[in-house]
Amino acid sequence: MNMKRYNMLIAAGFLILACYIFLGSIELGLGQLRNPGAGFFPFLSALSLGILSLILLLSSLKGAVTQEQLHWPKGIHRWRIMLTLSTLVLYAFVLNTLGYFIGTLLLLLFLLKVVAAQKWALSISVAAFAVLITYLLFGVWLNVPFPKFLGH
Amino acid sequence: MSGIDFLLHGFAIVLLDPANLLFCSIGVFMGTLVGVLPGVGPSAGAALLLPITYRLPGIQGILMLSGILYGAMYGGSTTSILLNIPGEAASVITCIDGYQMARKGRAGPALGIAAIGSFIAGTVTVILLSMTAPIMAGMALKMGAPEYFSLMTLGLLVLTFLARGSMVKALIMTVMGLWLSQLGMDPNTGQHRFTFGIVRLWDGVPMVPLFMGVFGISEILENLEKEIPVEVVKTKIKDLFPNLEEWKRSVGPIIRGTFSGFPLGLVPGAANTVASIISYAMEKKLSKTPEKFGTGMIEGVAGPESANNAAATGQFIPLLILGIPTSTFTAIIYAGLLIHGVQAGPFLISQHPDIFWGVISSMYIGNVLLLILNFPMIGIWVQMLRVPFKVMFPLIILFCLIGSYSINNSNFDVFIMIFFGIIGYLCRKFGFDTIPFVMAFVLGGIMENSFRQSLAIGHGTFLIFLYRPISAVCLGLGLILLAHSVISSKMGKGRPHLLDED
Repeated sequence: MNMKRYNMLIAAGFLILACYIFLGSIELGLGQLRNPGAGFFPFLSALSLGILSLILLLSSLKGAVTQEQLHWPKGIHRWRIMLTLSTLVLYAFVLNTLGYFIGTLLLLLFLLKVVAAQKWALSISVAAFAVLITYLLFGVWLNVPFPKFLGH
Repeated sequence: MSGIDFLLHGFAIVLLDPANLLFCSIGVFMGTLVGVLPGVGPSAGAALLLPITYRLPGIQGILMLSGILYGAMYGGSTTSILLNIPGEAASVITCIDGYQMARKGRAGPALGIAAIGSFIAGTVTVILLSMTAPIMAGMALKMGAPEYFSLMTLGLLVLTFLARGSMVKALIMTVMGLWLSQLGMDPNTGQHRFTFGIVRLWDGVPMVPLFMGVFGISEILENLEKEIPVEVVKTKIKDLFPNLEEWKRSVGPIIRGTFSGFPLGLVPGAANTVASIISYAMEKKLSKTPEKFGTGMIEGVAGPESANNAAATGQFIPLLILGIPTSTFTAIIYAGLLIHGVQAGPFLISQHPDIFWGVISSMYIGNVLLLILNFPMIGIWVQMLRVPFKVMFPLIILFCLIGSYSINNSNFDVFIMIFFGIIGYLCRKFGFDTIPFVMAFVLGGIMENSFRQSLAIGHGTFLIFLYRPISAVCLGLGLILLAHSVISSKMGKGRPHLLDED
């Protein structure tokens, strides 16, 4: 898919979002001009977004928007990004169960060993050192109440 | 008391406790450390270190923050000179002659003059600031809600005008930032707006996780797409002090850079970049050998680096006096100050002069410590430049995670960070500049408030924005910018892209 198609899809997406904000703002109440309600500013945002996305849509159709080349990462690079993102989401889910120490150690080990393809010795030492230092700095010195293993 | 007296009073507060200096030194050290990391720009680096300052008491946190900011900025110059990788748009200019100097074995003086020029510019401009701030604050007090709204509208329009890619896309990003700032409880009516039933969103979208995601995570994702070569100039860094001839050549550029950079601090969005470009152009124009620029002329480093730092101080005027951050750099300071309970604005200087001058003197002390600490440690930074990105990025992610988690001790903020990391990455891919988005998000709350107040003052008429002269001028200028970009796009001409990228 080329950039023109992407631009059209994005513009359509923003148009739908503008409709959603528009309806939401009406529901919130526009109030009066001398005393605008909670929905008034979102209403203006929705109007602006709607007009701008229509302009983007029309100018993409006409090919007036700069047609930059879009390069999606391929092969190993795509995997790196997908793995990093999914590991981060997983980490956020299990952080409270595994606790900071174990959760973060596993996260760093995975990123260093699997995503960055480093040697075991380097991965383990960097991960352990980073977790220890950040625990001492934030957990002990700055009193950040990091989650503990199984809440204990 | 005059501005200078207040400034000295500010120094007395800061210097009273030796521990303050220690925290500022740690800030400088860590700021430079993240500033030189490959694949992390100075603004992103400074955002990463914000959490360390959260839990320190008032002035110590602000001092550390100032150290981090100056350190990160200097770290960015170091990568420009030694790696030819500009950490931000403002450092692109430093690359031109700085890297050539490094290749000729003069990396030391290039790094030295960057630090000394920045220091001199910092010293002069902090005095200029102390003289102008009380006058500006008096003027700011006369500004009402309509003026504020129009001024911020103009600021956002300048940002979109200078943004990368299409203007329509930049305007969409601005509107998205404004809308996002409306999420959460409406301060006037108490209604929940667009919270999707999520209780954690009642207080709005948290600012720092959004910064971390848009600046930190998205930058890492983009860098994971490519192999970052580590090619540090293979030269021994010795003689950080320039020789006599280089000194003589640098004095003029430093002075000119300082005085031209300071007022340019008022330009929203691209103050540092514009200041360094103007300084470079000016030095080239004034030089007897303009053809030698680009081959390692020390003037090409001394001028722009001084101008860059002078503009950074100039940016404190809109930030502290009007409460309006005009760049990512000041947006980070704004967020940092808010965390420490300091609300910037026209009343700050009159109602809390100790805080106002404490912040200004902290920023200056950050500048001084940078000079003292960085000279002996330059070797460490050069070594840091050799650490491959693949080993660094998990550690950068770790800082983002801790930073987002530790504000509210909640993993919801971690999800917010990841979400905006993905959004930021996609924006980069599809040619949507994230800077107007972030700035609109930061300014959105104040803008909406001013807008509603203005309509109340004007008894429900939009003409209130035109009846007030300052407001009318701001809106008029904004309109001219919009018209200019529409006309130039019709004629097939581009706009300048100058935003301080990370």
